[in-house]
Parts: sequence; C-alpha cells; structure tokens
Amino acid sequence: MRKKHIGILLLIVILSAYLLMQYVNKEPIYIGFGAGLSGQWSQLGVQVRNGFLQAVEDINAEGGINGREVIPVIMDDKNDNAHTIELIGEMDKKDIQYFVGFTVSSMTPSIDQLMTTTELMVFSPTMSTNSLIGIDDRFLRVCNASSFEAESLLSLLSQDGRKDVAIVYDSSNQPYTQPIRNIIVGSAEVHGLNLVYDEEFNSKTIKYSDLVMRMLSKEPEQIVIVASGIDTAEIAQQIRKEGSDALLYASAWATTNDLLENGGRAVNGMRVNGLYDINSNNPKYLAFKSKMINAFGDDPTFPQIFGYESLQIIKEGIESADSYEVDAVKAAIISKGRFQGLQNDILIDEYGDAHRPYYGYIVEDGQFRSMK
Amino acid sequence: MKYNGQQKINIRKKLIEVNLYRTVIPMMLMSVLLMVFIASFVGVQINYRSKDIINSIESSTSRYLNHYASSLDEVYFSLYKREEFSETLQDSIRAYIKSNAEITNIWILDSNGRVVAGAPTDNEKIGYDQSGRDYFKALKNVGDTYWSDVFVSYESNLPIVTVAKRFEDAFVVIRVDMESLTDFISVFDITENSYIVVTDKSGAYLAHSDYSFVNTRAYDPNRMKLLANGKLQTTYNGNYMWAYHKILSDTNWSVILYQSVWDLVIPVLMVIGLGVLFILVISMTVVKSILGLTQEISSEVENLVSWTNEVALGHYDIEINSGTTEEFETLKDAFKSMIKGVLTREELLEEQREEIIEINEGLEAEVKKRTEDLEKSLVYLQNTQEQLVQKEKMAALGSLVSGVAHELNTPIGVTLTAGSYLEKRNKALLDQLAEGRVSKHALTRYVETVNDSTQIVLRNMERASGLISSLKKVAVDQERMSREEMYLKDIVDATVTSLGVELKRRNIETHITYEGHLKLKSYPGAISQIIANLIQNSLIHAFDQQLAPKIGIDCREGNAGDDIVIIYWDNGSGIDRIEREKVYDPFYTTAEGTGGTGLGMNIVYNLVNGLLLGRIDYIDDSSYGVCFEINLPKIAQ
Repeated sequence: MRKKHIGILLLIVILSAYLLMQYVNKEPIYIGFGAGLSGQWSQLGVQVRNGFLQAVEDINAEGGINGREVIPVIMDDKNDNAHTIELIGEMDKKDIQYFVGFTVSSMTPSIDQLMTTTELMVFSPTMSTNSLIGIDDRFLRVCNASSFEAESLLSLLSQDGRKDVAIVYDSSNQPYTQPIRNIIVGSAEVHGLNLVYDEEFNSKTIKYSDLVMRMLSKEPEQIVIVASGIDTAEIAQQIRKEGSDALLYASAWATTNDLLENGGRAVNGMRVNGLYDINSNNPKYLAFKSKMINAFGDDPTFPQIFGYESLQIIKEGIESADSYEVDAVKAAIISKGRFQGLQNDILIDEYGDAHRPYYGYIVEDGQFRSMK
Repeated sequence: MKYNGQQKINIRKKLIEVNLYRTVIPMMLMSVLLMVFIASFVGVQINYRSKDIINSIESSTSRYLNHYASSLDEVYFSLYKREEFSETLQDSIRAYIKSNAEITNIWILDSNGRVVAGAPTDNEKIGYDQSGRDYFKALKNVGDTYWSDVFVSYESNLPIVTVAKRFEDAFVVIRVDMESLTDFISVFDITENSYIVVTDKSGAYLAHSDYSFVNTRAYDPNRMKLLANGKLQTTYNGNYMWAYHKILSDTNWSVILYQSVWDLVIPVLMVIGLGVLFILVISMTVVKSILGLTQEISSEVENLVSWTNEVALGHYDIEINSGTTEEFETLKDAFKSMIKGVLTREELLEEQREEIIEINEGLEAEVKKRTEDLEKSLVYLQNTQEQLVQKEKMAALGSLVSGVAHELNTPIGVTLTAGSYLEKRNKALLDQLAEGRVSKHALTRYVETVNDSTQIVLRNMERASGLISSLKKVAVDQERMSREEMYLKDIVDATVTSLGVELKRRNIETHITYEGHLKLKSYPGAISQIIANLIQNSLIHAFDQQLAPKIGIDCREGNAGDDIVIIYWDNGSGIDRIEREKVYDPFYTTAEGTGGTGLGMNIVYNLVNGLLLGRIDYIDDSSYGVCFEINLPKIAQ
C-alpha cells in the first residue's frame, strides 16, 4: 500500500515537473525595440522597425527561439535622449533582456544610459557612431562604424578627378556625421582633394538657401552632404535651383526613399555610399524583399535589412548560448563572429562592432543604381 | 434498500432527489440555457451594430476625403486660375490654408513637376523639382486624383498625406494633417477598448482611435487578412477583438473597426454573471432550505422512531419536545394521544388478561376433565377395537372352523357310515355265528366287507388327520406369532387350503405361483393371516358381479435379494380411487351389514408394516380387480 502511494506521489511530482518545464519553456521572450518612430528622421526608425517586425514574424513562424515565442516591445524614442531616459525606466520594469535600437547616432547618450543603468544587451541596427567603437560592453551593432564610411566616401570622391570639394554635415546627429566629416577633412589632401568649403549645420533650424549660397560661392566641384535623406534632398534642390552642376555625394544615412521623393531630378547623378547590395540575388534577400513589399508596400532598403538582421543575430546568439543570460548570449555572438546576413556575411568583432561591405550607388531616374 | 422484498424509499434521499435533482438542477440548467440564448442573441445584435458602425464610418470618411478632393478644384479654379501674380497667389493660398486648419501645405506644380506656387513656406521651395514624388509619377491623365500613403511632414514632423490632382496645365497638391481624420473618426460611439482605424494602401495608419499608432506610423497587422475576409476575430493591441473592414473606393484605404470583445461581452457577461450569481444564491438558498428541511424531517423522524422504541419497551414517560413543523407537531400530538390510548388499552388489556387467565384456568380444568373423558373414551374405544379385532379373529376362526368342519364332515361321515355298516355286518355275522349258519362264502364276504370298510375308515381318517394337522399348524402359529425358518409356499398353501371350502363353494379359481424356494425366517402366523384376510376381503367385496372369479398369489424374490415380494390379486370389482386412500383405515368398510368389520385390511397393514417391517402398496393396474404388492424382508426382526 505504501509503495503504491509513493509511486503515485512520484508520478504526480514528475508530471508537475514536466508541466512546469513545459510552462517555463513556453514562456515568451520579450525583446525590446527602440527607434524614432515619430518626428524628425522617423522614416529611418519606421523602416528599421518594419524590418525588425518581419524578423519577429519569421522567427515565430519557424517556432520561435528555442521554442519560445518572441514578443516585441516597441518604443518610440522620438530620437530624443531626454524622452528615451524615461522609456529606459519603463523598459527596466518589463521582463526584457535583449534590446534592438537605437537608429541614429545622436542617441549615443541613451546607449550610455542603458549600459550604466540596466543589464540589457543592446543591438543597434544603424547606429554607426565612432564613439562606441572598440568598447567591450553590452552594445553590439550590425552596421559599420561611421569611420569606415568616411573611407568609402573618400574613395568615391577620388574616382571622378574633380578636386574642389565642399562638405556640409548635420550637427543634430553629430556622433554620426562628425567622424565622417573629420576623416574626410583630415584625409582629403592624402586623396588628392582640395577642400574648399566645410560647414556644420543644424537641420532643425537651418535655412538651406543661405547654406547653399555660402557653399556655392566657393564653387566646389564636388559636394559631400552628410545628413538624412530628406535634408540631403533639400540641399540638393537648392543646389540645382541655383544652377550648380557640382557632383553631389551623400552618406549612407541618406539612402532612403525620402532622398528620391524629395530630391526629384535634383538628386539625379548623386553618388551615395550604399549599405546594401541593390542588385542582390541572394534567395534570402529576395524572399525578405517579397515579404516586405507584401507587408509594407515598399522595397526594403538598408534600415529594414539591418533591423531584420539584428534580431536574427540575437536569435542565433541565444540558440548558441548555454543560457539566456545576456553575458552568455553576447559571448556566443562574439565567439561565433560570422553570421549570414540577408545579402552577405556580417562579421562581428570582439567589441561587438560589425564589419560589412559598402556599395557605391548613383541616383538615376529617381532610383538608386549600383555604380559600375 | 429492500425491505420485505419491496423497494423502500428513504425520505431524506427522496426529498433531495425531488427538490434538488428534479427542481433546482433543471432550473439551473434552464437558466444556463436561457443565458446562452441571451448571449447568442446579444452576439448577433453586436454583429449588426458593428456592421452599422463600419458602414457609417466608411460613408463619413468618404465624405471627409471628398471634401479635400473638391478643395483641389477650388485651389485650381478659384485661386490658381484667377490670380495672375504669383505674390497674390501665394497670399491667396496662405489664406486658404488658414481657413482650412487641417491643410498643412498647398503646392501648385507646373506640368514638369516644378513648384510654381506654394504655402505656407516661404519662397525657398519655388522652383523645387517634385518629379520624384509618387503623385507626379501616378497622375498620368488630366482629371486624375491621387492619394498618397502616410508620411511625416518635413516641416511639422507630423504624419500627413498628400492629395494631388492633375489639371491641364498644372498639378495641385494639398497635404492634409491626418490628426484631423483621427479627430473626425473619434465622434463615433465605440467602447473604451475598441478602435476605429484608417490605413493607407500599405497598411500604415492614417487615423486611429489611439493617435500614437498614427504618429509612429505603425502598420495594421490584420489588413491583408481583412481584405480577404472582411471580418476577423483576432488579438489586437493586447485585446481580443472582432474586426470589421471596409475599403474606401476612391483611395483604396481601409477602414477597420476593432470591437473589443470584452468591452461588448463584459456587460453581457456581467448580466449573465449576476444572473448566474442570482441563480446560485437562490439555488443555494433552496438547497440550504431543502437540506435544513430534510435534516429537520430526518431528526423528527428519528425522534419519533426513538420514542416509538421507548413506547415499545413500555416506557411511556418520555419527553416529547416541541418543534417548528406543523405537521410533525400534529404527528407528535397524535403520538401523545396514541401513547395515552396505548396506556388506556394496556390497562384494559391487563384487566382482560387477568380475565383470560381466569378463563384459561377454567378452560384448563375443563380440558383436563374432557381429556380424562377422552382418555376414558379412548380406553373404551381401544377395548372396543380389541373386541372387534377379536370378533374379526373369531369371524375368521369361524370361517376356518366352518371350512375345517366341512372338510372333516365327509371323511368322518364316510368313516361313520363304514363303521355303522361294519357294526351292522358284525352283528349279522354274530347272529349268523350264533345261529351257526356261517358259511364260508358269507365269512369271505364279511372279511371282504371288513377289509373294505377298514380301508374306507383308514383312508378317511388319514384325510381328516391331515386336515387337522394343517389346521393345527396354522392355529399353533397364529397363537405363538413366533419367528421361525420356513418356506413361503408351505404357509401360503396351507392358508389357501384352509379357505378351500369357501373358495370351492364360490367356484373361485386360484392361481398361485412361486419363483424359487423363497425361504424365510419370519412370522408364519402373520403371513397366513395377511393372506387369509386378503382372500377373505376378496370373498366379501370382490365377486358379486364376477361370473368367473379368480384369485392369484404370485411369490418371488425381491430385487435386492434380501426380501420377498407377494403379489396378491383378484379379478373382482376392485377399489375405487377414493376408497383406496381409506382402505387401510380401521373400521373402514364398504360391506357394512354383510359381515365386514372394517379391520381386515388394517390388520394386514399393521402386520406388514409393524410386525414384519415390510411394505404394502396398492398397484393400480386395470387388468386386475385389486392388486397388492407386499414386500417382506426375508429375515424379520
């Protein structure tokens, strides 16, 4: 009789443990997402978010991460550090360990805040600020640091043979724009270029006609604009309106539809530092592209791609790690180092900084096209 | 439970069964069904109401959008075509924007897409090339109107849409702040957690009951499914929703109504819940009352049983407490009356008992007296029976003696005749001798006569002697009833022989058979009397109507080997079925007045069953008159 009771008790304990394991295993994984979804530069944030959401959908469709559903917790940081600090407090209350964000380098103070006040692992799709490069912390990213972009732009500038170069850059996203400007300015001579104009502007207050008038007075043959797509378009409109035929260059930040829509014919011929392969025939990318058009109506560009890849790398990290702890996941990502992106391999170095190729674009007939 | 073979009802169980199972539970089930019906009815009503709302939103939104489409014509015809100078046109556009708060920008483009006029920005954008815009690419024909997807205004950083129309020599472009659409749809009466949303062609929100969705340019996750189905049950913004969809024909935008199921259902559920609660409370109250009543009834019944047991034990001095149930109080009053009645009757019974004791004592004396009388009668009867038996024996003896006398009569008569003749011849011889005239011839004749007569005398005397010897043997056996070894044949033959005169007189044919030697150690007198009585019975009762009477005795060994079987039969009138049952009864006779005593067969029965420890059975065989089978042990006790 006693043996029978012990057997039943044991059965109940095993069953309970199994059910508990099932319950624990079925607990969803909450993954935070922060981007400027409203206000200035929100087009970038919205596109990154759309890519991120597509990744959530794909991962859950394939059974989640280790069988656990991914639930995104979306926050609009408004690209405003003051607002974001409030959000971090809110986010800390939720059961979030992994965070995808932010999208513009001006949010670097918020990254610092996250590193000091939370235990989150932060994976940024598009923050290329140099200030976070080479630091062994919980910040990782899927995009290159802006210093690499400057090198790429210099390479483009050197191709055409025109010497006189002007550069204007948006101080409102200084962590991104400033390093590019500094490298170009510092290395222009090395590349045989002659810097004729260099001005920092604030896109929130600037009157572009005045800026352009000042710049064109120096008669540059090549003009580098380090700003968002819409601001780059505005500057290009003013340049063409004033009749200048200087060759225009834009940073990767500008490679959004905003540039094409707002720029019209004014941006035709503009060379842009592209972050993704427009002509990629990688099946993964083509499938992704098809899904994005179906879901959001637009061809995906780098923000969607980077948003998507950010979550996929986190997924691979969690699945490779021996626990769900942030440090274990980060170590797993660093250890793995190489990940298959939608178009090409992404290398993540020991500091969590990404290394991926740039692609030279030229705008023709309202479209980005690969430079030959 | 069964009691005395019948199914008995337990009142407590029955009360619970009747009240709970047949009343409360069916009532609850009926209530639940009613509530399910109500819920279903409410669901249908909600569906109708939701469809009304979505249709209303669709038509209102279409009117709202048409307003801006018509604004394009106003701007073109009333402003652009009237104002000849650009400065005046700019002012007119600014004034128009001012009078239409939700319009953020108006642009007039030439046919190449260059800005020729616009407000409210300064003249900086005059001359901008807008050929990259979607609307410029989309508006191929004069008269076409284009609605863009939602995007963020460069100036205001707010979500806006562009509505543009191509005219013969210009494009008119108006940008509309979509917050106004959100304000517009907010007038519809929906529940707190329900939403009305409007999305563009890509699914991005243009308007939403929660404007933050528009501000962050979120996309509706269900639009594609709704496009296919029109209606959906889904989880939206953390709530379970019924989603209804309509497409706006001019813009291909979507209007979606998310009705919070909980908002709609909770009031119904609350009503149902209250109903269920009410039913539960009522049911519990009823159940409690039933159980209380059942308990009270059980308790009262147990009390009554207890009091009844006390009364049964003769304890009438019991305390009967008061209760609250009228019927039981009536029952208790009746019980009290019953106790009083029982007490009265018991006293009466006691008196009657004493009377009965007296009567019994009288009766006992009477019975004793009667018993003594009966005993005396019994003795008298026994004596009478003995006398009758004796009489029967005497009758049998008489018959026997008569037969023997008849048998002896002839030889003795012949002997007497022979003696008389011899005496007569002797006297004649003596006379002749005295006369001396005895001749040789005479002497020879005398000697011959003497010799003949002597032979006759001797022969007849031997015969008489044999008869007497037989009679003596029977008589001696009957007298002694002693057990001895013998052959059945000797006894049977002697008995039949002893009755031979009567048998012959009645011309009765006898058939006596024996199988084997049939040696016994038994009571020959008893066997002889049995045979004699059976023959005597046949003689008296059997052959009145029989012209060729027969009596048979078949003797053989029994199957077991330790007994013998005597089959006695005749071909007389037999014994009918009723008589058979009484044939062994003492003094039962059908020949009263003809010499039958009614004891013959009783004697036979007693001898067979008593002395000889055998068995006699009447054999019902129609080929005989009577037929008795007598089984006797070879060795009697």
